[in-house]
Amino acid sequence: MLNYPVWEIPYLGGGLLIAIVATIHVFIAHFAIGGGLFLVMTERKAYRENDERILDYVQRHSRFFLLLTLVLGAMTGVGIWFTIGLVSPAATSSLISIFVWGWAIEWVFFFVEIAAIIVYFYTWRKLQPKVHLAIGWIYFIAAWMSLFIINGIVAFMLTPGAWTETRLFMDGFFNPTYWPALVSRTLVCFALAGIYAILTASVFTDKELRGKMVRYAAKWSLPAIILLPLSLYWYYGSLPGIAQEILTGGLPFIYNTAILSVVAGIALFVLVAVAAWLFPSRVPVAYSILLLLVGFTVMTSAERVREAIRKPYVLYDYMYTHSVLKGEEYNLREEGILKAWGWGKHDDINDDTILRAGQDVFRAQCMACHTIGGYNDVLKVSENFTVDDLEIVVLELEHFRGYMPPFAGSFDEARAVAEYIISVKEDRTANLSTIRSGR
Amino acid sequence: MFESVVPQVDPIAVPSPIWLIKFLMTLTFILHLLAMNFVLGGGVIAAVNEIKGRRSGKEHHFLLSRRLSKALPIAMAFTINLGVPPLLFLQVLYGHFFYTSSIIMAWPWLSVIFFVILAYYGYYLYNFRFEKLSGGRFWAVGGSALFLTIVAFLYTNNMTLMLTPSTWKEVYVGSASGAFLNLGELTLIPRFLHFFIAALAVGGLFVIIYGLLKRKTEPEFSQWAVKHGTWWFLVPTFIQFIVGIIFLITLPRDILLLLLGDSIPGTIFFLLAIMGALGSVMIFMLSLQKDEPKPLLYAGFVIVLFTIFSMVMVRDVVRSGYIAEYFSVGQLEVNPQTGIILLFLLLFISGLAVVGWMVQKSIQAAKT
Repeated sequence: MLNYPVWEIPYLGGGLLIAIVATIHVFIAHFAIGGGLFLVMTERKAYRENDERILDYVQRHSRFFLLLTLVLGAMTGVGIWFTIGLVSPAATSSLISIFVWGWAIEWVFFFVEIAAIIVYFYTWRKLQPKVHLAIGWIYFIAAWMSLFIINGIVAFMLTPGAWTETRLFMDGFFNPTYWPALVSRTLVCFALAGIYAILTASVFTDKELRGKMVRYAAKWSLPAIILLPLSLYWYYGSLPGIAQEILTGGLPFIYNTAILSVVAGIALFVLVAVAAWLFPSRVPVAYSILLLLVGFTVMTSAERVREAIRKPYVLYDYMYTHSVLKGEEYNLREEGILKAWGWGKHDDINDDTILRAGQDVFRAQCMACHTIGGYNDVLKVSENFTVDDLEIVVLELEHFRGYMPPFAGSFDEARAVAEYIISVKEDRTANLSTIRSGR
Repeated sequence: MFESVVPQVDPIAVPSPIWLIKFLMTLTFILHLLAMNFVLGGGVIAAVNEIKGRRSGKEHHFLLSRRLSKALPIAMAFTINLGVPPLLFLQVLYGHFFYTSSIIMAWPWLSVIFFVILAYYGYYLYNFRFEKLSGGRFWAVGGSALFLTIVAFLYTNNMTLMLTPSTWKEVYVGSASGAFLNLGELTLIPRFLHFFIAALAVGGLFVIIYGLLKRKTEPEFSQWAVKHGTWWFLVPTFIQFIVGIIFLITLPRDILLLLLGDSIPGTIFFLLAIMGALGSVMIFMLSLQKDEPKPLLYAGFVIVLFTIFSMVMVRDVVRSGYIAEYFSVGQLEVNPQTGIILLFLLLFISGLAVVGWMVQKSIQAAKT
């Protein structure tokens, strides 16, 4: 196994930390793409209609765009990379090794992208319209191409396709969910371009222009939101069987999150349509912020679902969530996880060391998903268990909980981790009752 | 107390010849250093000129700050962008060292993102609100430079920690919470200062370059900026000789010996780096006395670039030396994917061409 130490993050756990950084990033990054096309198309519209006010609006919009995407968008992207390296170093290492030239190509597009947006922003009204528009197009194409690349790597984690057999770059890259995911994400880019434009229109424009720009922006969002369910249905059809089961109710929490995403999507459609139809010239800033929040809910819950249906793998059919490679668990049952992992305090388990060994087994095998007392709380999921119950469940995890990876450790280690978890639980209960009875 | 643990090498073969990865890692790292030196050194120079301008009332100081304020956020974008490939290639070759040390100092390491965002917005504030800020300008640009200094310090922590696996397990067994800094490392402070002071010196070189660009349009300011930049190069570099010697002394003996004969490339590049540093100092000192310093300055730039290259090579020898008992890149399994490598090179060259065209257009725009 790729034996990295596991970082202990109180309350949140690694998965939620990644989710926090990633949701901020995707919500800006998809805008960075769709919004790029919005810039050129709207600038062109201003020239065609010979409307100075629209041109003025796009220029202001581009400043907001620059400050949001170039700084926060780019840095949270680097932030995801930092975070996954800290939380899932083994999977990150594999993604880097498999796709190093994919990442390198993405970097080229990132390079062109930032050069283009900077030139575009600083040459407003200094270049011929034709040339300025061309630079806007270069920006949009480079930005969308960076999605074209990263989408392959993100989709690979859930559906590596033929790569697990052939180990070929192209097989992993153009994998079963590649195209539906690319279409879905592109639609999201356009939907977000419209919603962010409603925000800037509500801030930067007077009533007369606002009516026009809000209706125009709604034309970016509404068709994309309508088409999204179709592409997501296509995506669903390309998923592995277990993932489909989790999504349709195998894990109630995930099912509910998926429903939330759908409901928020419908709400977003209605809210945008109502604003565009009924009061486009009077859309207040607060309303446009509400649109962004609802949009954020759609995306966050959808990405959360995509992450969750990957269970019990971090890289599907290749590496489990606890960084053990598929098939390796059989050896580790013989050999023991502590020895293979190497980061525990003790090498052997006896009466003196069992609790600490249990804690180390917990770090090595459970902490990738579970916390103690926080998100996905291990004390809660083992609430009514005795040590014996828990030991049995740990040894048969993949049967009791189909979306959890098999425990990759020896019998002694299963006992140790059960003892450890129950002892923490008892300590906490004891503390709680002293507090309740004593003071 | 505990035995050293180094995680296993990733079983997936590296899809490229190692030399190509090393070449690109070195090239992009040098470019990243130049851009980084500008955003860090340039930020400090702008902050100092804010104060000097206020005290002396001399127009040139404000003018330099104003020009820097426009360049800093742009340079920031490229510093970040050019930081990506060296970090990517580092993970390909030394991932099992880098991820582990990062995890041990997880929170400080992750806070790099936070500090860079703050510094970046600070620079944009300094640029977009230059007139309105007036007295607050020093705080905007100085604060940003301070945040970037913290980032540099955190990087030095990780880059030293990744080289010393013998320290890892004891820290981790004690606490898995990732709140560690490598403060016990003897080379930490000298290494950090070595990089920080170099950033000031190279920041000075960018001021010289800017001065040279303005020779025709603003001759008086140009002359001043060239001199001002030259002093910014010289003074930090004098200090650098002391810091450099301390850095050398704090290196473990066997590593130091690599630069003094035990490793042929290590010794050659070390000598070249020292000669380059001394040579550039002499040339820039001479340039101060010339009425027409341009040829000497150009020679100085070439020598500094060459010195940076040599120092990056020395750094590579030092890194390999530190971890030699655990790993060398020769152990990596290699299975090159020629098609995708060619595609990368093709796109890379096309990307440079497209950016070149856009830069040309924006220079035209600036002239009109």
